[in-house]
Amino acid sequence: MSQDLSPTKFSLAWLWAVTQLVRRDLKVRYKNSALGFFWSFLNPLMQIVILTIVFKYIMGSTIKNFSMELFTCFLPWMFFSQALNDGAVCVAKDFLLVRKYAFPRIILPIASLTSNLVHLGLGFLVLFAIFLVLPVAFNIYFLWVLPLLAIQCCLTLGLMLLFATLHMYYEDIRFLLGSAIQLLFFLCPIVYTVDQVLTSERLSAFWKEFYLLANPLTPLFIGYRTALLHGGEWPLADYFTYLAASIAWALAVLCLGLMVWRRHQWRFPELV
Amino acid sequence: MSEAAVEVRSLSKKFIVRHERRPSVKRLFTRLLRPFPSNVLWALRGISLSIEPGQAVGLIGENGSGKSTLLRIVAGILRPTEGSVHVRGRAGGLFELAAGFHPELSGRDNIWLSGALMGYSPRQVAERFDTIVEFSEMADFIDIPVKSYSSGMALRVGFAIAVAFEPEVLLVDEVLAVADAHFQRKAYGHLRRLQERGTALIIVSHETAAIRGTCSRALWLDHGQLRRDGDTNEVLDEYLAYAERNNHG
Ligand SMILES: Nc1ncnc2c1ncn2[C@@H]1O[C@H](COP(=O)(O)OP(=O)(O)OP(=O)(O)O)[C@@H](O)[C@H]1O
Ligand SMILES: [Mg+2]
Repeated sequence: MSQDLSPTKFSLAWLWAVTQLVRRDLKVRYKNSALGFFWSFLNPLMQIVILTIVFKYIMGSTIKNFSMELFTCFLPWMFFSQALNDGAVCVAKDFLLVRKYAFPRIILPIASLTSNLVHLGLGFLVLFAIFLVLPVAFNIYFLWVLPLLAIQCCLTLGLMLLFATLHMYYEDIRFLLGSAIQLLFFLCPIVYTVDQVLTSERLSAFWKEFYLLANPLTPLFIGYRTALLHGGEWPLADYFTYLAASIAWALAVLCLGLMVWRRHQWRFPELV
Repeated sequence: MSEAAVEVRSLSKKFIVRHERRPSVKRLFTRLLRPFPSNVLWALRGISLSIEPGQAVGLIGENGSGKSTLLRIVAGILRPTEGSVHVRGRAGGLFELAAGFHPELSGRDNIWLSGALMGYSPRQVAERFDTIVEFSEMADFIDIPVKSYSSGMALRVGFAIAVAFEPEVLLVDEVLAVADAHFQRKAYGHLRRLQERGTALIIVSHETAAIRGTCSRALWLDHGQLRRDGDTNEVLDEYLAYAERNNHG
């Protein structure tokens, strides 16, 4: 039986179509070659090297093991920024498909998220290979990455739905988004640690609290780092309060994204 | 309960026409101060019709009269502004050129992707895959990227996909014009066979000979309204006479 066909009705049977879209994305991204992943990974690797040189050797960052601290957060950061950049154009990019078939529109952002998730998975394999060499012992705390990723996926999908819809009306939202993402990079504890923020003498207690609560990515990045490098010794006493805030943010953004998407999905093929 | 394959009742479709300048974030803000004009365009107005299974209908009309819009609404891609459309079974087809293939992917990958996006299961696509390749006569090219296909080659694959799943309602929008004489004959022959087996067909074409040869009934859309609905030869003669009159002022 073929399933019910409507631009608004998603069912699990559509996951097969999602895998086909993901296959297409990855084939195009890796240019149909096995080396493709390594080429696409060259750029972030270079960035890690450059950031390490700048922050550790030039600015004299006191963080121990800087490049590994950076790597563990850089992977999920890349996932976030790339998925959001891809997500903003996911409907526009496949506009011809949207005008041709009546598939549920939401499979486009879902596929976009999934192909970036696959890319992240490959990135983690590289990280684990480095762990083997160093060596870093694999331990049970690594599993924390999974729930953290689930939260990040909800948040990212919500933002993708919002920006993909906005992009259909206002094309230049992409440039705004690109700049916002760059700014956000420095607002997250990636090239510095949360300890450095909390021990800063320049920031008042209010701003420190604000820093932890207002950006749902912050607790996630603290989490990745702690789970992968510090055996689950959470750097904050009340880490889980902040993680709860992050979950609340993620769910709120996802709900908002879904609401906006539902309202506008019928108009996508009309917005030439 | 009606037995019609397609039942359209007082259907109207309104488009908001966007202006030449792409809307931008800057516009978003200036708009708050000074609302910018947006034109409303009724692409279809008060269309009612019903098509029986096994009936082939030709849809004609000037450029911009709403033919493609009507087909997209029947296919469930666009939503009617007013009125209703009921399709018994599935509506599928080919819209304008066979675009929608990904240029970097091979014909093979594109067939799988199209099948999936049409809502068919892996088994259904696998069952029909060979038929699609065979019908399009593209076996030698099936593993090379679609970007190196000619437009007729892409059309052949697109057409073969559209007919392979035998939807209850088949929509064909002006696509066969780029096919060569051999494939056109083959395609129209196949459409007639499907029709004999009970498929309802709606064909949009500016080639009146093709419509005469395939359809027993024709619909004439004029500025979004259904101007004539009847016997193909009568409607076409009237339409052509009207076009002739327009040419002479
Ligand atoms: N997405 C859209 N936004 C705004 N107006 C549209 C949109 N799509 C179609 N229109 C308008 O609706 C009218 C009908 O368009 P449609 O494409 O249905 O015409 P058509 O009969 O298929 O023409 P042709 O013979 O050239 O293919 C046209 O005036 C067109 O400008
Ligand atoms: Mg048209």
